[in-house]
Amino acid sequence: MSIQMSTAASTMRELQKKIDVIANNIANVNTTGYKRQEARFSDALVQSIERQAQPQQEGGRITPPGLRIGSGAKLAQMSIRSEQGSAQLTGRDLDFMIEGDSGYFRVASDGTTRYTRDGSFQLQPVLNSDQVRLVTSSGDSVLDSNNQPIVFDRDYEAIKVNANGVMEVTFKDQANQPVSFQLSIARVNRPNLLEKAGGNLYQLPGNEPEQIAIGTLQVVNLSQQNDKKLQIKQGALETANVDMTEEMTELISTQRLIQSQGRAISFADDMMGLVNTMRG
Amino acid sequence: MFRGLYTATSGMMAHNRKQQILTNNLANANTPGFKQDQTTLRAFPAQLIQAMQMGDKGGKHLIQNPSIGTLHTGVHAQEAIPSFSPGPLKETGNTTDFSLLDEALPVNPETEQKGTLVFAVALDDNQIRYTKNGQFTVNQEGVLTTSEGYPVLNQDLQPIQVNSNEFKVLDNGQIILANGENNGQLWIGYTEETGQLEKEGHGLLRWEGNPENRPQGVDEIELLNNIGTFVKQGFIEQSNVDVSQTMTEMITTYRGFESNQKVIQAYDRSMEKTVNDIGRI
Repeated sequence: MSIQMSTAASTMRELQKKIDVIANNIANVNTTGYKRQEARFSDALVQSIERQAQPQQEGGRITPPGLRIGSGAKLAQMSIRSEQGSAQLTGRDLDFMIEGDSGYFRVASDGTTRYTRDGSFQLQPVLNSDQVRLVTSSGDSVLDSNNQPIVFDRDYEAIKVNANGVMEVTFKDQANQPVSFQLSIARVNRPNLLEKAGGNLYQLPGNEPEQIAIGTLQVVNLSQQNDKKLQIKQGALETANVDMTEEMTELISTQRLIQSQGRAISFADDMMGLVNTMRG
Repeated sequence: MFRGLYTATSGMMAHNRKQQILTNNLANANTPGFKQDQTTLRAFPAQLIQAMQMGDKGGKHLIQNPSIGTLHTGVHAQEAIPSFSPGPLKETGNTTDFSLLDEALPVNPETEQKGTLVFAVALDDNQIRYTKNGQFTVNQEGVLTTSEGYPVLNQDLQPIQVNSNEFKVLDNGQIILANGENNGQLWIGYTEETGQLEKEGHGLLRWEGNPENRPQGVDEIELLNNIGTFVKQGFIEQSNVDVSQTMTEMITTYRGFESNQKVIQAYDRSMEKTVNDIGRI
């Protein structure tokens, strides 16, 4: 296959991946706490064609000897953009939103700790008891600062969470003393390492203690942080940080670029046709 | 007799090369920091054509000046020169995106040339490469790297430990971490011999010229002493490929290829005549 055909074809394939990323962002425009992804490109390999036999006849050259031809573009990285989405007030007691880009709720899921920005929590009855447990909308337990699920009696009256993530539960039965929990928040310093685990959850490679040791994340107690960069807001949800206008613009320009790769392929095809019809 | 047959063939080959380079430019219309290649076509070395002496010696048909002139017998794609004109900047708001501000550079009064700025990155074997693509990221160890994972270097040509995405870079490359700590400076190099930066793929550029003239840190260059602005955080420099211009050039190149094919066909017909019709009784 000619060089320009493979160049255009492989670039087309890589650009298709960018369309996939954009499509996923658009599909999740209404997903609570969704973080948009971004496709990053770099140029692909360059092959050097050394065909200058006589360097002395190459007077006036600007570049080093040889001719270098690139072979298109490729997807270098898919990065997660972690800036804050806008707040949506719901007034629901179990809706929480983290203010600050780097904070994530810690959730026990599939035997490991995962992270989410989606604070639309539910209460799930604990089997064979009078207690309920705070879970995400997919049923994974939300962790407190002792790495335990948040469990309290079913006959609660009110649930209040302050900006520091202290959750106070009062009960209808006056004899039952109010209980309080501290929501556990992970501050992820290197958001590009987050992997999507589905169900609005993220995970990090390896286990959590390892990641804490190398500084990828810290588990913070919001009452003890000095800069107050992270805060919890009750009765609000964080919407996706997808900007439809931007995604559509990217979609159009990427689609056009794919189209022009198609043109490049047909140019190459026509040129090969010319070669074939050289002799009548 | 048919001197031009291979001339036309070389024309087709050269146009094919040019088309390959244009296709690569078009493919990278979306790649940050990509610099488009411009193809130069060069004629083969000239030959001197001389008339052979004809007629009897001393006769009236002696040619006064037997030299007819020079003739080039072909063309080849000589080089692909990357054009280091700045690409448009795009705001991304990402703290790990940087664009180099080539626009702000002065023209060197001695050489009347405008140079270009580059970042330095280290390969796995600690060799240094340069890049114009400032779309960086923070890796697992908290080191600032390119999208491909090569560490970006500071003024001492060492990797930069930034720990998290929350850091600031001032216009002169000074890095300030989230806790307010000063963490050195991004190495920003300057060179006027842009032709010696050879593309290596993955956004990397390799210095091929004289090692003494390789890109120098901007602080060491007198010409740039009064300029404090070299880099902008939160922006990327887009590719400087102009899609419509590239398409137009691809059409002309295609037609050039076609014309050369037509010339070959014309030669073919001439040869047909020579072989079949001349000498027919």
